[in-house]
Amino acid sequence: MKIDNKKIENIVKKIFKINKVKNLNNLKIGSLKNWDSLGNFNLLLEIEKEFKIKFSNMDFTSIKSIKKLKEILKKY
Amino acid sequence: MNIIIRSTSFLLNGNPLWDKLTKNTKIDFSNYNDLFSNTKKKTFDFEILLIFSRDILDQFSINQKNQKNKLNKIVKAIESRAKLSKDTKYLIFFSSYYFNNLSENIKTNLSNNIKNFFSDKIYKSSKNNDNIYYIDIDNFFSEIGFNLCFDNRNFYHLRCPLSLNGLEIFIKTIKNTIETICYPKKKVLLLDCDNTLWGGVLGEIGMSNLILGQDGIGQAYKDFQKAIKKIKNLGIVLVLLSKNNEKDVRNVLRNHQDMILKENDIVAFKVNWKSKSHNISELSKELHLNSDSFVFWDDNPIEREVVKKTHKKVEVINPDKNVENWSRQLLEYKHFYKNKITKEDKVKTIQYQKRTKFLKEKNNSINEKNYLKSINLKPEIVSLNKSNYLRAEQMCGKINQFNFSTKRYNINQLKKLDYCKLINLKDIYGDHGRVGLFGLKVFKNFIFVDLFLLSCRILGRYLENWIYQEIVKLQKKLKKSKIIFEFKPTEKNVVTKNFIKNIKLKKIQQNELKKLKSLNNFQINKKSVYYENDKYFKNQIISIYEDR
Repeated sequence: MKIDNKKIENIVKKIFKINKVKNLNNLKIGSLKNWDSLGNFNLLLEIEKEFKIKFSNMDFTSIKSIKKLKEILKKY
Repeated sequence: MNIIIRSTSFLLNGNPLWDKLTKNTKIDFSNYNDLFSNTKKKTFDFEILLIFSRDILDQFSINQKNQKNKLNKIVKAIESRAKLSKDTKYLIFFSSYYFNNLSENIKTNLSNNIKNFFSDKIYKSSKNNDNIYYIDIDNFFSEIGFNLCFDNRNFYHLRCPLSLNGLEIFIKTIKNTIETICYPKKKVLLLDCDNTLWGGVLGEIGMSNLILGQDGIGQAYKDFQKAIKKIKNLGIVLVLLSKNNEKDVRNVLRNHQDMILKENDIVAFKVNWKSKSHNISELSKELHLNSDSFVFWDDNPIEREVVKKTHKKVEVINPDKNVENWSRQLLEYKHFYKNKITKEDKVKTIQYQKRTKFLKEKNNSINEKNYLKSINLKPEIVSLNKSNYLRAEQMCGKINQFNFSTKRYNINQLKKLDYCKLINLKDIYGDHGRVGLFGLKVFKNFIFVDLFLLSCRILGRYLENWIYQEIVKLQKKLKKSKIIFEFKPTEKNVVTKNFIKNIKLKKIQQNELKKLKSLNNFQINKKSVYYENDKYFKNQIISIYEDR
């Protein structure tokens, strides 16, 4: 899949309720106020919905940063 | 509004879907699988429980007795909580979906058994507790399909059995349920005839060619009428508002064999060639109802636009473009929902028919007083008892026009008053049922009228004067120096204000009010005006009740 950075950025804003995203590629669990393990699930579910995909069990548990997310998204 | 969500599962708090519930609502989430513990917070307006049977029952066990015990405990706990905080509404959602197990379905229907068991119990307790509501959420999931609503991956990873789709449906159903319970209630349904009650234009094609009852769309019109009749039986008043000859329409109601609605279902026929907005204004006067209790259903968008412009308070429905969906659309309309149905609701149509007849005859009579004497008015004072609690609470909750303080007391608050009485009225038009209520607090030197209200359909008979006289009698009996009334002016209670003028109540001045304030138990409401009675006022009109 081709990675749409803007789309990911918008999802991050929506899920973590923030207006601006700095250094999208460096974000990971813990680096935003609401990005805890629950926030992580909400992020992944939203990614699935918006990109119309479903992560495998393995992928679902291994994504904990934007970098990893992009890497895995490429497979789908 | 304060809401708390509790569930046996994890419901993804923080997910943006929850923002859709309501804009101004604060939502709390209890801890995972905590259905009952108290929170530090104040009380909530709504406590929402979503119970997944798979979380509390062992799906792999076949010992049903044990399972039922667990459910029993939950119902009991819900009940006792609901009894403790009566102002909180408990919405109980239950889902027994796990997976369809064919062998189980053939033999025992285990999961359905469990649900029936739970719903029987909870329905029973919702009958005894007005603040418990039960919703079988599986019905709503099934509309788009369980496969779309549930997700086992989420269950094992997040302890949330729902997919985002499922969660969205749950949130939407909570929202609809709250709106259905809270929306202000409408009283009157105004119905067009041509292409609304039936297909086709009566004046052009004649009764025998109307589309009604035949297979296809004719059945849909017939079902729509059945839905209307159901709404009527819940206490909504029906009015026909159509550009037609009244004679022709009455003929259809009388003689068309597929008509569900009959002449006696309709309170008023506004079937003529005048504009609909003119008819609505007339109707509002005739029924003594504000147009904000009207709902307008018409297939014609031009008529709808006119009514929207001329009567901004009338709720104008946009009917679905397919008649096939109308009966559902009507039955789902939130402003008609009633949590409790009283005896009065069931005979509402007859009561309003009596009222329109009464007004017609009263206006035609030359001497009002003689006429009112002739109709044999028989009021009666009834004490609060179990059989009328519901009606008393309902009257407090919805009467606007003749209502002094507009305090919306519930039954517990009513019971605390020193005197709380209902008024029953009969006359030659029939038994009008319990139409008035007054509530008094007795102080050392005076009687305080905390509540004084009268159903608008009874106005015009000076029953308010009769009630006033009864309070005066009580004042003399208890040897109190005066009666004090609280009046809170609202947009709607002009009738009450006129009555205050007519019986010459005197406004209590600020310095006097201060004295009252210092009394125990006397609360001054800043938005209210306080009055006392005039000792020398002669309440002559009540002779219509006496000289017989």
